[in-house]
Amino acid sequence: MVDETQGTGAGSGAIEPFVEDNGPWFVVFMTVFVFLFASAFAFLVHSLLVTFGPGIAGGSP
Amino acid sequence: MAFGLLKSDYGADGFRTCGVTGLKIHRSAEVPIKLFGLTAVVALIVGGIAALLVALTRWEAVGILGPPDFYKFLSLHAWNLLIFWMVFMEIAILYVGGPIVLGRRLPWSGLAKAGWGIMLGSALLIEYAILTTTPPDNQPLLTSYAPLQSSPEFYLGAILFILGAVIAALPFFWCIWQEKRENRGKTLPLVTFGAFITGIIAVEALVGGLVTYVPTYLWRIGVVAEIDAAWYRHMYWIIGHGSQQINLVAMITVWYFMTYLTAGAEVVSEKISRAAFILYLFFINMGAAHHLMADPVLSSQWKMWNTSYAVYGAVIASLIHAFAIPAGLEAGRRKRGLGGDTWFGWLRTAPWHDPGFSATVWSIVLFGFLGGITGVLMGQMQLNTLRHNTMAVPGHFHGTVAVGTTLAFMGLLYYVIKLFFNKDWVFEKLARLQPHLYAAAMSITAMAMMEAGIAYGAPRRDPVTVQIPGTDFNFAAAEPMYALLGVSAILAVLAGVIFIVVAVGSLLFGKEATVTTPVPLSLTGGDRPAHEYSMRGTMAMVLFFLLVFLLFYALDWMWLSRLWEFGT
Repeated sequence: MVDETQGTGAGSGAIEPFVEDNGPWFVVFMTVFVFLFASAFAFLVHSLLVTFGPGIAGGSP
Repeated sequence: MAFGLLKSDYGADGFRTCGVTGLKIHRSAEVPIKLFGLTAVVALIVGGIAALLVALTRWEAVGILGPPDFYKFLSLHAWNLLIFWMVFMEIAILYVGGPIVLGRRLPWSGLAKAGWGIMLGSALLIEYAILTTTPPDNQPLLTSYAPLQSSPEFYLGAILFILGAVIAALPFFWCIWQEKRENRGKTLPLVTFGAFITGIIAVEALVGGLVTYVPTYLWRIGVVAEIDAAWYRHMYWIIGHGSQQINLVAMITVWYFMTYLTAGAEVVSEKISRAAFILYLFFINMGAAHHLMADPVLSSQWKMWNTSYAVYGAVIASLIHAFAIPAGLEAGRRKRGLGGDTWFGWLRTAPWHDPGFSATVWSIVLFGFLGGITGVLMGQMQLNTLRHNTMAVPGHFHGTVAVGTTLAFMGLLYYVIKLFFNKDWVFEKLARLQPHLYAAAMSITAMAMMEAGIAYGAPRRDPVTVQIPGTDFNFAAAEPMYALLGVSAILAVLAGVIFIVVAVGSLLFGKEATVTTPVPLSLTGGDRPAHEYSMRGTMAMVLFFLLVFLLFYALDWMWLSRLWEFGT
């Protein structure tokens, strides 16, 4: 992820402002993002099982 | 040491220039910001400790507290995190959005400090009232519904806290008044405008609080013979939910500020964003009506108007911000040449290593998916029936406040440490990890609550989660959800501890800040206005969001259609 380290500053001739590299942290973000959406999907499937399949996941009280 | 933290080097005129933002910062504004920010963090610590105890009681296999202590710590949890942590931060945000952004003195700064003192004293009085409540008084929880009586000290503390917040807000309004008087015809910056709308909504909510608590206090000390329970419920939610609307608007103001400060975002349409703030001004408090959907006193017409018509004015405002902020991030970064010309390069190369940025983005994403969608569903008259008084309700407001607003305020505080206290973060790797860990753990906590409520109809506010005493209701099937809640709450509290360690450690032991932002503010990019750059990545993301929204809207109607089968 180094394709951002050179900005396109408007001031021609001036030293380009340094943009920090984000290292591995976008991968960390995406991993958590996928984990949370997979969890939400699992909760959704569980809700549907409770709704349509009494005994499968405990059923409604 | 503590007083040393409040000092900075100012010029003879009382101003200093921020090395990062270039903003002129006056001593009269900076000292109160630090006071309010530090006090908010203390409330976060107290509320977080109570949160752990409450969660480990809900997880009945652990069952750490008996019923009396459960309600005591639930009250402490609610007041410290829903009120003190939020309101102290919000006053600080008013001062950042007002005098700091405008480069002005904070007028009446003595009043600001007096407001802080009253708020602190009254918060301590409320803590004392909660800790010493004994029968026949009841723990107030958040709602303190009359005619269940709480201790007189509690009502007095609530009144004084509200008065203190109003007093602390006055210097902000006077600052805006001075700015407009001296610069007629000049528009306020968007962040200041957002803070101004936040302030108006705050005063509306706070006045509602006085209307509620003053007569209730008079009733509690015997001056007034009786109090109408329906009147109390109706009035209470002006502040009960109004206080959360302050959180919402303050949080969105922080989103605009932090995406600009850390990642090069611009506002693609000032008019559209300002219009969305104005929609909040007129319609957001209608959201309070959803607390009264099962109330037998109010008419169906009242409920329908507030939750099936007026509330959409607030929903459309939220949808506008949900597009405008990521679109501003995308367009601003494309304008600066960051991330190439691909669909999501601007996002992939964003400063995810910066806790100020990652906390802000997690706040935006998770507030939308967890708090926003469930809030609209609950705020709709018919669908409210499905979730009313179940664990899905705390699931919703943990999605909004505990995930969304708290992450936004944490992100802001990371930069308050750098820009105002002039300290570098200690344990920098932990700081980088913290928003991701907190976002993951607290989201699972919220979803486990929602699942217990939606799938099993498990009740909220009950320390016993399996066999409800004196009833035939048995919720043993929901036990795995409570176990999940317990484990994820432990991890969320751990992430909160990391935040506190980094924040307090930085203040006490941090080196003098090498003040930089991941994307320098001097990097202005091309000459074309931001709205001329592509926003296709944002469009794809918001369409995905709307698809999920539609899915859960349809599912809720399906579940509602099956509600009458329960118990048959």
